[in-house]
Amino acid sequence: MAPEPLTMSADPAAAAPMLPRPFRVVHYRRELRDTFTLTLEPLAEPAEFSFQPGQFNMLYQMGAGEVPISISGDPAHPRQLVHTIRAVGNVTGVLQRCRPGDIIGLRGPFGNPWPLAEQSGRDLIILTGGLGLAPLRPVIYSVLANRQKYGNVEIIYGARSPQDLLYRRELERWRGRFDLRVHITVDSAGADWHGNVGVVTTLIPRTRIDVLHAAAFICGPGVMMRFAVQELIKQGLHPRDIYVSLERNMQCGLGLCGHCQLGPFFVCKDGPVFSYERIGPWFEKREV
Amino acid sequence: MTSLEETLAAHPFLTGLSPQQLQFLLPCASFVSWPADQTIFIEGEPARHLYLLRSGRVALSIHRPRRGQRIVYTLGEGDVIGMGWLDLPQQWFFDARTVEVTRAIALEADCLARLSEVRPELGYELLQRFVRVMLAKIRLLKLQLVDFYGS
Repeated sequence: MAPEPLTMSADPAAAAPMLPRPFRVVHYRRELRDTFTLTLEPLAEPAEFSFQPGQFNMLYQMGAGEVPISISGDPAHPRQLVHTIRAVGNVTGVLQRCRPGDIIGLRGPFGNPWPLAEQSGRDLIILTGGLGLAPLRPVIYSVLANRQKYGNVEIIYGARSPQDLLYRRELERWRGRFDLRVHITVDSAGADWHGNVGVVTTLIPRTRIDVLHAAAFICGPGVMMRFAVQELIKQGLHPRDIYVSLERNMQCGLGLCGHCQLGPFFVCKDGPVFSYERIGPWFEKREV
Repeated sequence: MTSLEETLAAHPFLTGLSPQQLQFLLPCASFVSWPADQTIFIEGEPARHLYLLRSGRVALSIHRPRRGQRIVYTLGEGDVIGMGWLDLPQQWFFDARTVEVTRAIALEADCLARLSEVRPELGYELLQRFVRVMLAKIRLLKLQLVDFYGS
């Protein structure tokens, strides 16, 4: 029997997942003191970049290296790819200096998404802190675009101070909606702050969800997620209904290099989104 | 209108007390309410009440010379504020100000202390509840100290 002819996939990411594609920076926005958002468009066809909420890309800057960055834009607008980045190291520091017109490399999308399709008809808690709002923003866009599919939706967001609130204008817009409850808290604030002060876990008991028919999506620093999970379980949510997005040293994005291994999982390939029921034993382990 | 006794029984801090224990507490209790942006107490002033919040929101803050107020915690429905009287010198150690219209039950501290002397079982029960509230607050304040969102 003759061998099947080799065919090139129409999707360049699938055909050559280790090869960065060139993207042009079309917009730069300073979000916070150390946090910024880049909007990118592909230089070559295909002009659209489909992704699902929760997935991440590897952003590559020549001479500096590659970093995994969650996609924080709207999946319904695949022509523009949005990443919100905190400048904490060499590569992100170089990315921070990018301006419209600059070219950067990009591989992806990688990882599994938030299981939104499975939550149809259920209540939803979207719980996040700090920069963790960025990977969950595509979820919020998707939920709002299909609002009738879900029950009560509650967003809980925490930051160090009112000045550290990410996407503040959007938060205010979401808060003004009748079909969404948005709870915001900060660690400390001046007297002009009229919101909550305290950690995000204190807001969980205020949510109006049916714990038997609800799911929670959590993204944020590890310590925040750990205590948020504990509080959600205390409120009656089952671990299988709690999903967390993990951050590890992702490098290849394909589960080949092993840098992001967490017990039996490769976070880049098996995650970054895991149900707590699945990842719990490893989530709590120190020095893994 | 809900009676004071019913309101006492419904507050999470007192959940589970027997009807008789609630009856004992009644003479110490009264309804209070404040408009938004109203000072409830100021650091250093004598602490004479325990407040069981029924609705609204209260901000606890510390005054910093030349730098103004810093809010360190907010409390709302179901929360308890005002345990400064439990220890000498029986003063408030924060400023408390309402963020929005707030309703509460005020329990007079001297009355609670006397009641605990003559009804030690009730006093012990209340003390256990104070300890739980304080432990929960300590846990939360510890989390606020570890840079919860930046680590």
